[in-house]
Amino acid sequence: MKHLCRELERHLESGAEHLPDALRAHLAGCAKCQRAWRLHQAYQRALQAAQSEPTPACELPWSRVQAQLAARAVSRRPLAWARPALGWGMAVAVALAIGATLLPWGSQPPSRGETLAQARRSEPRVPDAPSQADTARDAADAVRSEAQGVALALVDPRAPDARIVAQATPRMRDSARLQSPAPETPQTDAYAARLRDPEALARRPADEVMGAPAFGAASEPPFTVASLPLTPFGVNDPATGVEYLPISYGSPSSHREVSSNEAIIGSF
Amino acid sequence: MERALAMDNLYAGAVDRTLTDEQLAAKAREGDAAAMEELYLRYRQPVFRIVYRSTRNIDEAEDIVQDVFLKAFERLHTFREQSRFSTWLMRIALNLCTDRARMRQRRQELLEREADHKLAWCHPDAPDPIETAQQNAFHEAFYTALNQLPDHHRQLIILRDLEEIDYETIAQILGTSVGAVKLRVMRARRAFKAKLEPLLRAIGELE
Repeated sequence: MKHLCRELERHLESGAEHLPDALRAHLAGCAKCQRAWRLHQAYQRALQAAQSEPTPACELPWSRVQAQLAARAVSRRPLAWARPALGWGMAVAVALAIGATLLPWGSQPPSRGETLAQARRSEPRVPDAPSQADTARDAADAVRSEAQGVALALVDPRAPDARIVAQATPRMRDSARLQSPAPETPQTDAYAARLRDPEALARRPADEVMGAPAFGAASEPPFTVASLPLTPFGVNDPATGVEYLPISYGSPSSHREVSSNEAIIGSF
Repeated sequence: MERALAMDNLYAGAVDRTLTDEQLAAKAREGDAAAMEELYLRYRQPVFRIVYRSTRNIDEAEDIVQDVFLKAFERLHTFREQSRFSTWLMRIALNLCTDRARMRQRRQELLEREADHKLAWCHPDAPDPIETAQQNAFHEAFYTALNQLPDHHRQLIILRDLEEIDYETIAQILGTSVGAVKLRVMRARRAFKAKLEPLLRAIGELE
């Protein structure tokens, strides 16, 4: 019985209009199938009604479609050259990115150990050259003595090397001090001489004293202002007479380095 | 670039009307505007009929028809002559109908959410009550049930039962086998009847 019900259902869903005799006989005695049959007939009527409904005519003219086509063709034309250009641009960008990634591996900077070795090799070349730290010391002394208590340290533009020396390991300091500094120019000498002159110092604008270069003083070497070095915890550096706190990154300040190649950097 | 140049020849001369669709498509691919126009005139109404069955709105249907032909002519270079031009065109039409139906449904959901179901009667797409009373209730029940169907079922009911397109052509349009189409049509009819039954009972067409 259920088999016939299922067969009738499949028969109706397949769209058949006429039932075979066996199914028709089953339909007479099965309420469920009668319901399905009535629904199917209603569906067929609804379909016929929908099919008989007149479809309105499409009044869209060809000229409108044609105009749209032309407009789109014009708007897309600039992209015709842009697409290959974009492709080439992308290719170049990718090549540059790859090159930028691989280049540092090919030309690695020398390690710190190599730098120190180079510094050691360069020692005999300039045995007794005056150090830049001396120049810085002279300038600092001049300001300290002549600027009437203003606690400023004048540092020659080349003098930051002295700070680097102070922060480096002792052996590195020695080797760096032995390297040849840049020769002193007459301009620098004149400037130092002017610093030693109290009258010239008094005429100097306040901005210049405080470290900012005055207008029209472009010919004079710029100088920077540094706080006075703290002396009680000094690095033993009798040559310069200036004591700096030893700086050793990543370790307490009291840490002493064992060798020059074992500086601890990082890991705060 | 080639297509852009081809579009420059839109204002061309007449075309031989005895040419087949595929021959016209080949000419249209080279930018022959007369061939495009001939294809348009041949298939404007069949495409419109299918689209209108789905949308039940003349303006929207015309918009979709325009989009169908724009898309078809712009992508004519992708038309492989493994299938007929008509089935290729119908596939584009059905896809655009599906897209539009989804957009419409989303818009309607938004509107209903905004109105909190209180102003549904004044929704612009809602039928006028007086007009509805005058219209055939049978049609309304039929299309209401049809619009409640998912896209893939609705398309099959339109193609097979309303437009009476044969299974082979539907299989070509949908890019599947005839057996699969038959099975899908059966499922679509079952789903459609399930939606239609309460509506027909409501209007007294079913006891």
